[in-house]
Amino acid sequence: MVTEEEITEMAAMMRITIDDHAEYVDKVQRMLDYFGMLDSAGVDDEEVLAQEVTPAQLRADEHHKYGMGTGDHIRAPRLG
Amino acid sequence: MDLDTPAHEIAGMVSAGMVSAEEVIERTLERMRQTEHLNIFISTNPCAISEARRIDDMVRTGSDPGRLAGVPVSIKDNICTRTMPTTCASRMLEGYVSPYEATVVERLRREGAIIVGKTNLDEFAMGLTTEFSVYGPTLNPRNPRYVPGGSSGGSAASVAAGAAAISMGSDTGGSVRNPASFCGVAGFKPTYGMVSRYGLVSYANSIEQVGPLARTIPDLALAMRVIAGPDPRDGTTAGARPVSDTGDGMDGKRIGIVEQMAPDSLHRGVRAVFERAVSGLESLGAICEAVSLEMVDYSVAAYYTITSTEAGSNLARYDNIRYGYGLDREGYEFHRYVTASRDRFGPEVKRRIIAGGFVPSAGYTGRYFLKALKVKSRLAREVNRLFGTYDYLVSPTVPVPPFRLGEMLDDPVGLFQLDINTVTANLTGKPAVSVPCGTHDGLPVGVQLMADSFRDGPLLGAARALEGIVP
Repeated sequence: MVTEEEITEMAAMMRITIDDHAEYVDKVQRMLDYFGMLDSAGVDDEEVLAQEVTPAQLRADEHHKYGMGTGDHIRAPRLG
Repeated sequence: MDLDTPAHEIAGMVSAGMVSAEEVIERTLERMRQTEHLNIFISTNPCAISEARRIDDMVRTGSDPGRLAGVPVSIKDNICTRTMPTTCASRMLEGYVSPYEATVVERLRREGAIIVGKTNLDEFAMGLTTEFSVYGPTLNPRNPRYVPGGSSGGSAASVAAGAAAISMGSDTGGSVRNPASFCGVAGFKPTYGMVSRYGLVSYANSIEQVGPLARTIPDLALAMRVIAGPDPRDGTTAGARPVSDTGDGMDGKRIGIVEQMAPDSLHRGVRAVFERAVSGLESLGAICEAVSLEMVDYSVAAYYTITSTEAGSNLARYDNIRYGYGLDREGYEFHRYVTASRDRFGPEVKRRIIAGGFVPSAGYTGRYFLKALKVKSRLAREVNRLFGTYDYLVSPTVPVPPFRLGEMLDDPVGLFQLDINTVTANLTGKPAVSVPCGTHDGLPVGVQLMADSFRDGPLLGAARALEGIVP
């Protein structure tokens, strides 16, 4: 069970004002309690499927002219 | 021609000079005015008529006006357009006009489509009733006392009301298919990577896709042929693959009926429509058998854990520092300034941001986020195994028919559970389509077909076969 204090503290860290207890704390608590059902999924031994992207597959940092005359921008590495 | 004419027929008639694009758009704008009470559109395109005249000029001069010549298209208001604001139905983006256009919008315009307006949605696409919009709820055109589904509720309603022949929505956990089912239109979630997300305001990048809604399956296929394909501006797009809706018939096709998506507790009206659809598929020669996907029972919890986490990260950018709105800085300490600006988010978005901060936080990552990723992986393995034997999986799109406005607003977890039949396609990246298959008490009910990755064309072919046997 996630406590009210934990939710209030997290809201502050996410820069969200909680001005209505019923609207935020109670409903978020219900959401997190629902997520808690994952405990019974029996997937502890499951490997997480992930697509590895090596540095060689990333595009280089490049300086580009922005198309509409509003200044330049940096094209950052593509992360897959 | 009337406003219920399929998009491919409208384009054919405009290209042949049988009807002018200007007339099509004038009639569409008139329909938009007649249905204003449904609150479908957030903004309309002031240049729609002049753009239609350009299409007519092309027809007159013998130029190719494109595959969507003069077709009225609406765009969900979380997809960027340069000539209209993109608000995400949020006060946070009130009045924001994007300096660039989404790839899907560019491709639609290039083929002669006329963008008539931007449609209402749940704020930042978080919801499945289109009630969480700062502009108020959209009403279901089939019965205005009922929700249209969501989050692409405005898109589905625009097609159902005849205010657009095609609409572009976004589908993160069923946000195209759910409103398609509730409004009695067809909706398609493509394979992840088929359609560029460039210009789609990010909510949960790892699973969301832009997808079309239309009155007929051939129109979905036409839209897909226009918008699908690689885009150098979106590194997640895959190579070009053809999208046809002709299929190769249903005779001998093996279809899995997912037990967990049609349980004993399924609404009786939805069950009746679903069973008729399955019988119809069998009458076409398909072999339908019950199959099990055990992880479906945990899929919704995994889906909301992952999407809340990605939403918390994506929406961190709305801090009123890099861009934002006029807020007096005098008297504010830095953190209070950011907090004050983020008050412009609505309650559902705030709740998901808080949850999204919590589930990956130190001490809880293993309990929530890591487990959600493991459920996602197990689910993908289960689904891939089934597609080794079955061509398609079938289920009701939503386990209940449309419900009344406000009926579920105070039950966030109850609303989550309505996603149980749609999130599997998102978590596994598979294509899925909702086909309108009947009604319960006069309200539409959709049936969902799902296929293996990049079998979008055959899937639309199967959907067309199902559409063809619906009474």
